[in-house]
Amino acid sequence: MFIITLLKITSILLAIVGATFAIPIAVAVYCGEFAVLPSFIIPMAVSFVMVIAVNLPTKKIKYNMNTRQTFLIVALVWIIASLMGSIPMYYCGAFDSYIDALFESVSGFTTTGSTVLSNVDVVPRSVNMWRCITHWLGGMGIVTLTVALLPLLGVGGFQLIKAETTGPEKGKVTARITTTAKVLWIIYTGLTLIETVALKIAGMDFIDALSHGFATLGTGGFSTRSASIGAYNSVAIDVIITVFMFLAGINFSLYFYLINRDIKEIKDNSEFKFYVGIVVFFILAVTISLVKTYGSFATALRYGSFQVVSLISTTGFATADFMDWPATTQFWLFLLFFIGGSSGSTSGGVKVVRWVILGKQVNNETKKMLHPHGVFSIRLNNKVGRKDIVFNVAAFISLYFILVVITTFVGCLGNLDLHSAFTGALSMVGNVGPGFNLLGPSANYGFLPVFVKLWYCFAMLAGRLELYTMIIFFMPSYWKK
Amino acid sequence: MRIVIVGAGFTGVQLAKLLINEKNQVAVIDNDENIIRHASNQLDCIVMCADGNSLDTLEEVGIAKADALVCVTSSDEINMITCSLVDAVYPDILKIARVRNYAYYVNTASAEKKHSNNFGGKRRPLYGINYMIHPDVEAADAIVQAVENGAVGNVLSFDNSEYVIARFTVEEGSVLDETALKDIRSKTDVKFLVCYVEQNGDTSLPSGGTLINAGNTLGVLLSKDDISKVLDLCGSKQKEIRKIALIGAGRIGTIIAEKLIQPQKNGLGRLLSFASKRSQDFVIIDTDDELTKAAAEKFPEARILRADASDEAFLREEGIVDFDLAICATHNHEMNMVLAAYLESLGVGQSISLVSSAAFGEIATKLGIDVPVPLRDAVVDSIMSHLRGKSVKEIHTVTNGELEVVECEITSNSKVNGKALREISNPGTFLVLMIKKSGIDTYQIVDGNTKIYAGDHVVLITEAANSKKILSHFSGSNE
Repeated sequence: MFIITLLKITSILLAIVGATFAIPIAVAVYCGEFAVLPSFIIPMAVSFVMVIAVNLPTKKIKYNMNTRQTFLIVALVWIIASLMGSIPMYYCGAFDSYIDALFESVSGFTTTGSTVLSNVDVVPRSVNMWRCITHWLGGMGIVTLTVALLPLLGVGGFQLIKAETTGPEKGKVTARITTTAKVLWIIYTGLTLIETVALKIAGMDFIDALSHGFATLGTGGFSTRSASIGAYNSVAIDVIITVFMFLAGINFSLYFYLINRDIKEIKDNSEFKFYVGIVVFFILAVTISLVKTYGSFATALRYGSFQVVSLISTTGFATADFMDWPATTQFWLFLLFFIGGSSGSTSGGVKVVRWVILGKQVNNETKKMLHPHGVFSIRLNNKVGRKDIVFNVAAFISLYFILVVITTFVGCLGNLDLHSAFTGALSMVGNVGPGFNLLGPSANYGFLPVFVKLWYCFAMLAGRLELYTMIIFFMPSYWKK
Repeated sequence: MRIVIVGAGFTGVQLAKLLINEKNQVAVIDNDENIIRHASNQLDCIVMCADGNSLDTLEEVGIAKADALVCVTSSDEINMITCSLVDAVYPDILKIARVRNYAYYVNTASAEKKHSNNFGGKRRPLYGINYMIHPDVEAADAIVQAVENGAVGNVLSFDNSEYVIARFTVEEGSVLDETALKDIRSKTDVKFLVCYVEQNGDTSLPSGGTLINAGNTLGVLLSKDDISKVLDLCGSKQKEIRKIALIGAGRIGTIIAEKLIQPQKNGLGRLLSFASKRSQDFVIIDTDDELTKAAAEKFPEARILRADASDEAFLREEGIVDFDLAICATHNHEMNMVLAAYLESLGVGQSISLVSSAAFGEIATKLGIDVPVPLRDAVVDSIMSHLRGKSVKEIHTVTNGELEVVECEITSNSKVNGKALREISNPGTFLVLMIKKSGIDTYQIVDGNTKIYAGDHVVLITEAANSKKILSHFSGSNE
């Protein structure tokens, strides 16, 4: 009875998403936004009723699913969560159409952070808070949260989490998957709270600080201000958010190793070393190219480093409009759209580790030219990697860019210029947020035709779930009995 | 010393021969009648045809009074359980088992270091076996030893000691040219001792007045690490071995590579070593697909090549012909010899080859191979060295048997007890080289002021003809 398992799991997940409505409800009560209360309370109540209605009578039926079904569950969970998240957004009245609200919700859960709103400041604070919470839930993963909170998924839980987490190699840092999920969520929550406190001290009010904490750690990019972080015009806030965007782009397992004083594991992590190296290099390159624009190195560093970290971690916050920056700066930033953060982090994109593996393979092929009889292997994290990892990565990257190409085409069909369409596609599939030109940091996605928005929703979900979980349903072999 | 050997195959017999030569009481057990008959023809000791893993049999040949048990039958299991069995009844006997299956093998020495609290302390040794001997490990160790000695033949090493006796030829223009031995200390502060001097074909024990001339060959006792320094003194530059080709990525090859490959420096260190061209170049060659892949994963610092090492086109393509050293360590021992000779003929600087026995080693030397390492003898040597740890006297002969290096223990009724070396010296007849103070495990190089006491172990070099007399003079017994 797979349908019952499916119902049970999705209802539980929805109830957990529903439970997080408590935060925007509290904000709404605090700020006196009583008009939006029903749009939060009703879906919350419905999700609670549903979870009871589904689970009580079927208490004795055990969870039962095969690999094929785990993909279906995870994909459905993300779609249903996005639909549910769009309800309060639609009913608060800030969005022109339901499709806009859905786009905003998908953009939230997938931690993309592209908005259709031209003026965020008029949106009720509770809804703004909810937009940021979607980032936070989607960042570490809704399924991971469920497994962390409810160990009932058991062994199947690892299968589910594997369909949701990012990176070519999915492991557990502790022996039990529920403990791993818990550890990751505790680290995640801890970092969020630290950032919230830091932002509060730096001058934000508490609700804004918490919202931005959620949006940063999820590497989302929604802000409660139209001008994004630039609206605060504070060096301290810029620095705090830069640091936490950087931290959110690191594999969260490494924090676990750090807590356990397992420094060797961190030192040996190839991806971490490259991630740090790439960030440092791009910050320098961008800063140098900006010195003329801003007149001083320090100012250039402030805006440059913020934008670099914002793009590599696929957050998409802005403190300045990079469309006004010189072409060389734009070139460096454009490159960042291709890289993405680390595997096992909340960021999107191709992920540093995949490029590292491809780079090592290129290196091996070059050596093979010099030594035709040579035998070479790929080492990751100072260990021998899985033997087929290069094929896995090559297939992923091909699929990734096929999706980017199709998304670019859809953008062009929607009358975008090629530059906007291509960077928009990279931004959607990589869950970055802003693109270039028409989709730049100061623009929004509201003007796009409906079919482009719907396709972008799909592209964002596919990008967040690392392609296979979404795309597998389009493969004939999936449906073969 | 009484030693029981179970298994009278090649190793057992070889071992028994050496032990009998060194005046130990040996008993050999084997359950194969033919083998025992063959062994009894060669050995002057107790030989018994029975199952070695029976306590009754062992007791019959006197295990109760024995100092050591060596199990070298063809069966790993028999070797191991026999040791365990004896360990249960006679825990004080030194037990050595040969193991060929690598899955059973525990490197007892390194395990002891790692778990020093539990191992060999209050608790019993692993499986009741003090030393496990694996032929591949021993052969690999011997090869590594040879490489560390600079892959020059004629290096005499001592067990449990960093010191070796190596031969050096003094070149024209060396600082040592026309120097009397007593003045040598003023030329250098490297610690070494000249053991013998070869002049115009004559070998003699030196005294302080001996004058060194260019063209002389010196036997020098020194620490392994100082070989290159002394070579410097002698005016000849040792070519540093940087480029090593290892043929054979099997188990022996893997163990060799593990020990010889220098860990990669990171960052700046790598750049610096790259710039100075002093970095090691290690190449492993094998024809086997699986073995090369495993090696590539295991040794990222080395270059792994899958090819036939006898293919000249391949060797030239990869530049192997310019290498400093070739180590042939495949499981085909005849091939190793041929290959090593072939590689040297192509221009490889030096070669080490794994061969099956000492007899083949001689052929290998004739083929021009610098260091042949005989597999079977490596096992025997290793067992001997473990037994010597117990107190078998070691005898080395140098320069075609004219001189002997012997070790003896000073007893309380010895004539030299309590005297400084200066007082007992007799230039030209013997020379004390090293001393191991009682209670200390390492050797030291001596000088004239070193005093000898009962319980010390002394290593000395003498003329072979006088060695017995000198030995009794030192040890105090009339043996």
